[in-house]
Amino acid sequence: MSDVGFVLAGYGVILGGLAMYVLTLLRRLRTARERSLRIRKEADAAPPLPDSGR
Amino acid sequence: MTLAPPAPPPVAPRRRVWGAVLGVAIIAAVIAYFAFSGIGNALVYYVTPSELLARGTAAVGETVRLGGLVKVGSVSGPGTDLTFALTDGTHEITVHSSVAPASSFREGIGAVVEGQLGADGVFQASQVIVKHDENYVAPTKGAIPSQVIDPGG
Amino acid sequence: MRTRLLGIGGVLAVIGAAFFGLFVVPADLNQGDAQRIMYVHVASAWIAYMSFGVTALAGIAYLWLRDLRLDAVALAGAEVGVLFTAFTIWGGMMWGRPVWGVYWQWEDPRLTTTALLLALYLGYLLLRRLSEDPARRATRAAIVGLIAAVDIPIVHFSVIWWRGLHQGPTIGSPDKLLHPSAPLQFVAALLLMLGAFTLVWGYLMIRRYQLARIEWQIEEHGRVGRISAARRASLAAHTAPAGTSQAAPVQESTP
Repeated sequence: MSDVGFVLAGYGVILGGLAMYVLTLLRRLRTARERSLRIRKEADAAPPLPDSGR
Repeated sequence: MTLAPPAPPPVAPRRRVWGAVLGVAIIAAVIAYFAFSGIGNALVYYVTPSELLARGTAAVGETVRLGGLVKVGSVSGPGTDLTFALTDGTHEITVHSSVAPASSFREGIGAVVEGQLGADGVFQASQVIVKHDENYVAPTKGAIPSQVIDPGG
Repeated sequence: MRTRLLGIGGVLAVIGAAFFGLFVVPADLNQGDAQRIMYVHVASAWIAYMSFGVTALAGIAYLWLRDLRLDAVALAGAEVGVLFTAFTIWGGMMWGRPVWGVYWQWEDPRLTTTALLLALYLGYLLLRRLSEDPARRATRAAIVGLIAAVDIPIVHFSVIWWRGLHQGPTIGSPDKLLHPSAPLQFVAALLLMLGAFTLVWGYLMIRRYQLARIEWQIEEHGRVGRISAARRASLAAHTAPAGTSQAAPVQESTP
């Protein structure tokens, strides 16, 4: 591999990895938000807990 | 929340525990390698020509890394049959290598070679690593690559 | 919305800095094009130091204030730091092969302590998964995060303290801050990349923090659910006989 090849591999993996981490993080965040929302809806629909303390 | 008393933490799933144990084991292995591979040479990555020659005949045949500057004017032969002298400014050792170094190899640059000192005083290297310094130079008109310095005199 | 702007700005800045480092600045006279990797390699390393530094400081603050939000900051720092340490090592390998002639050398102090840094914080992340009690997890993580942080100065000064293959600092030492061993345009390209990475780093830290907070809310909900179920069961066990005995006469009287 030429010097330019190594430069491309270096920049490609680092910048590509950065982009992939951003996308993965956003997906994890979306999944978690959806789950949190669903749980809240279920909690609102369920009968009050005997010990909810609220 | 006014929940009391707090619930005991649920037991982590078995698979998760084993994953963590494996991870910790790998980490311990890395740390152990780091800690014990340094024994005998106490964190010395390479020895200088003066240090190697000071050991006398005891150094012959022992696999070591030797570091120094490639003496200006000492390089001869093609990359696969390379002969040059490594110097630390006081002593120098002639090095022979049949493995071509990186293209950044040139006279006056730092190098670390791995191999054994022969009885004939020539160091037979199985690997030549170019040690680059922290100086960067922008190309300007008329500038030549490599700051040629020769502490070997 | 402001966080999103930070993210978009960071991505644009990284693209700009990469363009500057790859196409605008000339290649180093001795190393050639391979030297351009230095911009992402060194910037990644500094960002990794900063991330792990945040983890250590947030850990100390947690041990003092016992606020789980600080533990979320510490977690964000560790995960983002691991990412940038991996980038540092990858960039270093892609530079080492053409310039040194080898990708990696064990026993070089800088390389080995950096590998140790990666291992330590991977261990930190694994340790967090062992405990599900938030307070206990945060306390353990804070202590381990502090111990691991000891390696940060060791990595940085390894090139000065020990003989190795890796070169010394070009601008990252007190005497070289004002007189770097590199032409100004190279320093500019490095600082540009560092600035761009810092923007993206801020974005990642915020998003990872938010993720931790939401995940822990879900976790907390699961715990409350389990306690509630247990309470409901014990409540039913205690009150059920009374309830049935009260209900029985009513049922008898209805027919």
